[in-house]
Amino acid sequence: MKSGLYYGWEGTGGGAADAADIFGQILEQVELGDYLGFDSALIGESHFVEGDLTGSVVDLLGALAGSTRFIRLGSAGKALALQHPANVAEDFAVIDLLSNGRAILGAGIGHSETAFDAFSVPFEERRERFAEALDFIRKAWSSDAFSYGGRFTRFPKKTPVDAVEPFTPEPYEKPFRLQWQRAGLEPKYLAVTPRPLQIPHPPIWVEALEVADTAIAAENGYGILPRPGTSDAEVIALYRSFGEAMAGCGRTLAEVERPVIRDVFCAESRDEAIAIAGAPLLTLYRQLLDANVSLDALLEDRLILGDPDQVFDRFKLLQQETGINHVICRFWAPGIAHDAVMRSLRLYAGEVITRLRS
Amino acid sequence: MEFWLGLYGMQSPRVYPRSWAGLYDEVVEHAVYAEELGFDSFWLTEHHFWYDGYCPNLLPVLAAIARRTSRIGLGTGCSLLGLHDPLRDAEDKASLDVLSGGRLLLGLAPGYRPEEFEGLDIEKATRGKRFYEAVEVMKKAWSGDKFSHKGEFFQYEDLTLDPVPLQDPHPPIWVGANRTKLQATNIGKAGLGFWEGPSMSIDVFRRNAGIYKEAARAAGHPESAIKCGLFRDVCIAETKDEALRIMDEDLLPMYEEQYVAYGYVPEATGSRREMLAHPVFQEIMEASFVGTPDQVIRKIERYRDAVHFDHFMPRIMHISQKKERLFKQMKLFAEHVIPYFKGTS
Repeated sequence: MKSGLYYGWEGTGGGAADAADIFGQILEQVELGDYLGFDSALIGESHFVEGDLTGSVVDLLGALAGSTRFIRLGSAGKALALQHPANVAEDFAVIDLLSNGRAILGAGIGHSETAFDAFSVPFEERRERFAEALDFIRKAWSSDAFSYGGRFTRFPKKTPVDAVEPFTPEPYEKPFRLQWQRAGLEPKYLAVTPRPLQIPHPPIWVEALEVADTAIAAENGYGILPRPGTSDAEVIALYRSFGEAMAGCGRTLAEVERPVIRDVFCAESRDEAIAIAGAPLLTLYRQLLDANVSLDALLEDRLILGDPDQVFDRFKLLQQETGINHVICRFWAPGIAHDAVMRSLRLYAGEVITRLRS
Repeated sequence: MEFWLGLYGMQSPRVYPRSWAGLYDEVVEHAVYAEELGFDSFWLTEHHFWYDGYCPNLLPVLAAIARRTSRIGLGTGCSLLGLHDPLRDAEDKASLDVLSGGRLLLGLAPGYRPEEFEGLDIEKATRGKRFYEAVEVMKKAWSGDKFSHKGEFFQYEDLTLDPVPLQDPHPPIWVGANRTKLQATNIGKAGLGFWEGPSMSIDVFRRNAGIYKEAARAAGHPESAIKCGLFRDVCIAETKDEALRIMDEDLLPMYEEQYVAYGYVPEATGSRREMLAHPVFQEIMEASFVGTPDQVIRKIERYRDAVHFDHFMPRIMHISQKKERLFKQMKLFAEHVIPYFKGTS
């Protein structure tokens, strides 16, 4: 089983701390994680939500592509509907090239109405827009010049909307031999360049919150990424329905990576882990989930705070029930000191990563 | 005088094809070397849907450079605002300024290639208006206050951006100028920096810079906001002959390929000499600064006598150029030209 790092933006804004400090801490932690043998680092997305920083995912991933060597770098739950899908394909191709083939596109339908309002995208169309964007991005990454006439995306502009077969690859016998000879003419086909390094394309993980979300991942053969903050029981239910959906499409779970995001803090003792991370995570979940939730309830089915043995045991149990093979840990949340996280990462790497791999 | 090194687009052209991953690897190394040599800033360039893989998003690349350098400025030359969503741009540029410790420099332009507007489903004819409205939106977002905007192209209600750029009030903005008087007037009216392109003659530069300054003063912008920058192709070597050889082998092949691709000139059917007789190539050859360090210094001074400017971008990087030759030119420029102006400026 692999281990990764996850960063979300909940509670980072509103002057809680200096944005430069927060960015610096995230970068340093992932750089240490790269050195220690963590397999991935995922960064969540937030736009204009009260109390959150609107941290740029592409910027942070780009910075990490420059400063790390092995750790894979990705988004988590990036709402594809909020921008032109060609831009998403371009951005993640650039990150893939910068990182020498380490990009992961963690994509999502999007759940923040605030963000959809800010970008003037109708919230009620989010599911259809997401499905179309996902389709477009895969085509863009694996095609030469093509055209796309979907319901929301016309590429190039003159392509008819809502074509029965929205995707058309450029015919072999085409009017122009190379792009540089077609300049000045109205393009019928365009190529999204540069292309990513990974073949056939960077992995796509579809954020899953409801059972229905797993269907689109299964149809395309993508992995799912249960949304951060889900309970163990919800993760189990999502992976069960995902397994069924995959089987329905003639696939097996062995074809995809099976990640899950958990809140984790690893210390010499459970008491110490709770002393460091308990209160900050309780504050976080009281905002996200339920204002009256207790720490004990969270420790039961969401938070994994403990000594290395306890953390290892919880992951193994979850693995037996779900078949996950990649645990992506949120070690840091507002209020958990950077130094404590760096210590926890070292402890986890020595005691847990090593054992999870064997 | 500040020296900006440009312009990297991570292109793999027909005349010198390379792996894209290799180009993205190398650009960081070049930026590290440019910082070591004492260049003030390092600039990338953007286009979309281009056959050679021209870099479509500069910000993640600048972020990678930011993490590997400590002092050098990070420039977008130009970020094609006419094609972007200004709200997302405001977010991404603010974050980059924060994570780089306030080193972002913004060259902005509306964009001009038809394919890009066709691809992103944007009316090309509206790009000028769209561009200045987008600049307004970004400035409002960067204020850090709650803002609303009801424009022709963009509408927002009660949004507050956090984080805002580290530089107060925002990173310096330069606008890439074309040869028209209208563009010079508009840049002046908006109170942004005037950045002259690579192929305009000294007379066009003098005229347009004059129009720009007049428009800026008429609009009531302070003298501190009125600034000119010059962008030239530079081929620099120990001897004039060597510099001419660099122009012939590196600079001109780039323009030959790109000008055919833009549709400015038809693909060569006759000899290379016939092709180079075309006015667009004559213009480039005349405008480029080609020669020994002393000759390049004299050229810069000659332009500076015509128009006062404090920012000079030598484009030493030509897409068909081998690394060894490029590093040699960067070193010559940094060892001779930069100290001459830093000492006297």
